[in-house]
Amino acid sequence: MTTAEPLSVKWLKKAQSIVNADSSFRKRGSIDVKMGVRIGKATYLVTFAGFSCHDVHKLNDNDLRDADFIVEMSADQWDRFLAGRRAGNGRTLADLDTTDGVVKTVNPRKKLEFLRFHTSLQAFFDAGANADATQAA
Amino acid sequence: MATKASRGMAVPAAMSEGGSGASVEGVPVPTYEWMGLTAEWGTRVKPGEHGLRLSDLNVGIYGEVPEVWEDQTRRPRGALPRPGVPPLPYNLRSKHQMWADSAANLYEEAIQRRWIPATEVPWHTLEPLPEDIERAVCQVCTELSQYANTEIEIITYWQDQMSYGYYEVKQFLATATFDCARLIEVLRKRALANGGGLGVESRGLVNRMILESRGGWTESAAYQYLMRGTFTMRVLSGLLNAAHNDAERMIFAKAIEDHARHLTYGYDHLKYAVSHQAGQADIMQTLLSLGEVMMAAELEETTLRPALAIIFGGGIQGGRTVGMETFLHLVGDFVRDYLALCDWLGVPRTEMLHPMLKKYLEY
Repeated sequence: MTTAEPLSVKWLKKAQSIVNADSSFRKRGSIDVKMGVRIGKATYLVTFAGFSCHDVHKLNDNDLRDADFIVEMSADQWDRFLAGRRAGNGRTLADLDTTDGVVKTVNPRKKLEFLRFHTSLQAFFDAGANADATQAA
Repeated sequence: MATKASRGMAVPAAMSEGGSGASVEGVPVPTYEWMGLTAEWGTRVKPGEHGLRLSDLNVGIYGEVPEVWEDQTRRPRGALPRPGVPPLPYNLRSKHQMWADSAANLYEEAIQRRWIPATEVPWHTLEPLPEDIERAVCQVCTELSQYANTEIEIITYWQDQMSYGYYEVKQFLATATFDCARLIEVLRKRALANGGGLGVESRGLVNRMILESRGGWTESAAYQYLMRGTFTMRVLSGLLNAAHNDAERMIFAKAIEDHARHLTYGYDHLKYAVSHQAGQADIMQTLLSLGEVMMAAELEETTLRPALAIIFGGGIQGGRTVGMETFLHLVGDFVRDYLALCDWLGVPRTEMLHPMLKKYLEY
């Protein structure tokens, strides 16, 4: 991953394939949500439906309305977030959102689309973070 | 099986007395007249990628959700009525009094995302905390338990009166009461598992306001979800942020998911009521102006205030400075959420917000 592009479709697809193959992800329960992820300047849409992650693709800013909410971090925040999760003691998204407001929504009702599924979404990001660690080892 | 026509539909024919099997001496022969009685037959709903959900069953007459359900019996929606069944006191019989489009799927979500505090919370990660912090955690557990049993009581009070025409809502609310029971369970376990115990009962101003709201479920939902529930979500998020170990992290992470489902139903119902019932927005304005007084009073005197400050500040010392500052920011965030939700509902409160709540917007 380069400094210019801290997150990529490739990274998200890797996380997608891991959680879709993981029975414990299914056991967390159904998850129906469209999550925007904006790290630095690039934005992606991650779609979950039923018990799996259905789709990952890059978005234009004009298409952001498709997302129920947007996880938004600077490249530095993102790197710290992943490093903490890889180390096993980092803050979760829900935790970070309490202090740093990293989950953006048009109103507090939409925030519930994140909060209802936040442990599954965290499992998705953890899958990607841990795959990085495995690759690096 | 042979079929016969009933109201234009092909239905199983009533079998002849005795059927195909031989009768047994001394055993009454069953009757089969009821077998031909149905409002709609031949329905074959297929499961999708979510499995077979309640909302998938809304096909044909089974999916017709009327604006008013006059029937005061327990007849399931879509079943044939039986003449002569005495009415029961189902006083909520209009859709706008309880409906939310999300209710059926939230029911499924609650069933699928359930968790088991006894075995899934990593209780072994609890470690002794300084006494002031342990006392504060236990006090918070005590008060949040009272929040949860208030929610159970107000739901069950009204659930009893909701007609079966809107069974999805009754189903969802059954899961909400179960979620609350689980929250009481897990908070009690946390309080009694780390050398502490339960704290002191809260005065319960808002609990009483919720429990005494008798003008209809929508009124109770405004107090329970828009006011109390929105505040509770901020408290749970603060507790997740300040969790001392993995057990507390899991407790509050899962409690947030459960509570978010309740709020989703509550907010969606209020939105439905405001947009489908003339005058409801004005009624809400009156209710909220009364509710804000109680909410503000409780925020001043609740023991949750010093207890949370101690938790956020890492002890009594820190509770006097950064802890209280964090608590005040939490309340400020709650008030901002509340105002944004009121705007979304079409019941703007910014101009009329009670001064005792307005002061928290400084934080």
